[in-house]
Amino acid sequence: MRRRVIISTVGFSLGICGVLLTNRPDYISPTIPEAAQDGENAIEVLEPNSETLKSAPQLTNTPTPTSTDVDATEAVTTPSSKPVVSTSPLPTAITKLIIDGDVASAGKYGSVQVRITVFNGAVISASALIFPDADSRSLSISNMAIPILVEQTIEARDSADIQGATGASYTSSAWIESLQSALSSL
Amino acid sequence: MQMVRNSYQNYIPKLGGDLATFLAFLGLGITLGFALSDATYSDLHSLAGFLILASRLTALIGTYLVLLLLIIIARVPWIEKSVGFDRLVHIHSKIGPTALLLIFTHCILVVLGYSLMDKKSFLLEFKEILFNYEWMLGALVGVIAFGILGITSWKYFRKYLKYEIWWTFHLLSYFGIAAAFAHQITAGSLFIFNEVAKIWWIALYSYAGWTLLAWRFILPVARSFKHQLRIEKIVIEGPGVVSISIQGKHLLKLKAHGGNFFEWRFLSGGIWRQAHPFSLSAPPTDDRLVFTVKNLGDFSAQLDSLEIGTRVVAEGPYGIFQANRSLGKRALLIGGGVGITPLKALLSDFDDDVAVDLIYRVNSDDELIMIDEINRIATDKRVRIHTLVGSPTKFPLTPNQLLELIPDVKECEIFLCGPPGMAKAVLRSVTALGIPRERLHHEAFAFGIVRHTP
Repeated sequence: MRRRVIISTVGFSLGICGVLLTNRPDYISPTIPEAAQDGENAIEVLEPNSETLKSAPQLTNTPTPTSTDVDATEAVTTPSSKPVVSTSPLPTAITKLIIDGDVASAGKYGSVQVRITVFNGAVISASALIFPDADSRSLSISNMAIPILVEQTIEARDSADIQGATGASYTSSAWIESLQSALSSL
Repeated sequence: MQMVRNSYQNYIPKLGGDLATFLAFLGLGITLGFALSDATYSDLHSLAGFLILASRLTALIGTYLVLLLLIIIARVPWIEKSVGFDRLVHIHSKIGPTALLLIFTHCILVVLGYSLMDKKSFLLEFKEILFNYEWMLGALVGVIAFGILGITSWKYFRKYLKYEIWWTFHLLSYFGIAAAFAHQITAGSLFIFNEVAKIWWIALYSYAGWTLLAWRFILPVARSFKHQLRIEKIVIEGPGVVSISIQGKHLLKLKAHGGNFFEWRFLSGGIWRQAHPFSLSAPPTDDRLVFTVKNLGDFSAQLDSLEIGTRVVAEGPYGIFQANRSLGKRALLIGGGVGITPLKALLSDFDDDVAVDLIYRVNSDDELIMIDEINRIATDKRVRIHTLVGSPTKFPLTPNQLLELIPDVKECEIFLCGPPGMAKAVLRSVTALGIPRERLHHEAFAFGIVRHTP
């Protein structure tokens, strides 16, 4: 009987210590792009065929144009087969803008600040600089909602008219508010 | 079937039990470790945070115990052999209520914690949690299934329920466990953020599911068809005592010993849902297994509906009631009533150099079943038979009475199978005589009456 008690104690301690020593949970926060300084909007002017264009995976599955006389705007929009009205201020070159929205309140859960990357008038990526993360529940909601909001934002291309994520109404409306302010500075 | 004399072999059961205990507690430690590694100091700053942390801990430990309960009754052969069926069922019934209470506590704490955090009423928060998270309805279904399971298994209600109803609700709990799984993965913040914890949890669930499916469903059914198990004949042995022989092919491959038992399921309309733990009353041969039952309770009525040729599904062999559990040269077998049947099968398994005493206690002469066969075995071996015919008050099996019958009872390895009252008396006497508990092998479930097992 005593042997069993020792065995169970050893097993239990091994398990609990093993996990506590080796396992550090990494709270995967929604990715924040490393470009641009906080608080200021960066404008990047790209020449066609530049390295950045070649490595823009969100945009194209087709081969990157190799000849210099191909209009870069066309080359980029062709894969989506939807003609896009370019609102780019520099029609001769491709413009990539990184814009931070205003900080919007998500009620008691915290606040949301959106950073978008606009490429040729359309949002090509979005992320949250600030999001509800005060406690594990808010974190889990953010973790669920932000990827959905990012996807909807990219789908909406150049508007803040998105549906939001179910189960995260505060975060969603704050996201839309911040996104709107970012888009309005285009 | 010779008694195994190899000391290494004899230690296997003991080591198996140790290993099973070690693994069970290791798993509990790992689970708790993940839960604690996820906790932050900020959780403890407010009452709400504390309640939520507590709810997570109760959920993890409770669910871990539920999975452990599944593995315990999954009849994993090495655990079964080393710990024994009756003890496993006993452990199952001891852990069960704790597991259910922990899960109910989790439900209450999680709603209470979040309602404090969000400053909402309990009911409103309950509604929000239910509809705002994925798979929460599944969790609700699961906890309702557990609630029904808890009530139907509670001993005060249990005695009023028919076996089939209780069994159906126990099956329902498998559904509940599956239904509750999804919300743990999609809403449990531990598993959302911690990939390793998620893998551990899924692995645990898969292991429990697969062992259960493999050992309790696929194997018995496959065996029944492979060995072509069918009822061969039904013989009346005495008043209300019946032997049923099952014919089949290559039965020695089942590696059953005298004293083992199977869970029998007769595939005949209406009664296939009942499994009966009956022990073998004769050493198994390659084409026949025989078990003997006293037809008590529901089963007596069903006996009439059993026909020759009825297909049989057998789970087993189970039971630690094996001669090779005996380490000494002295053995004492104590059988009461129809409890003699596994002991009779056990008798033929002892080595010739083991001196065996058999105490056979019954209430009246006509209950003395199988006595001729036992006498025949006894003449071949060094077996002394003591038949005690009379009421329990006449032969209460007190320490003095045992010493009188068997002067060297303290040297014996004791094998006991009999009705609960008698088993209790012997247990008391053995303790009073200072015989170590390990030397008493008590097979509660091999006692050949209809008994309900999970």
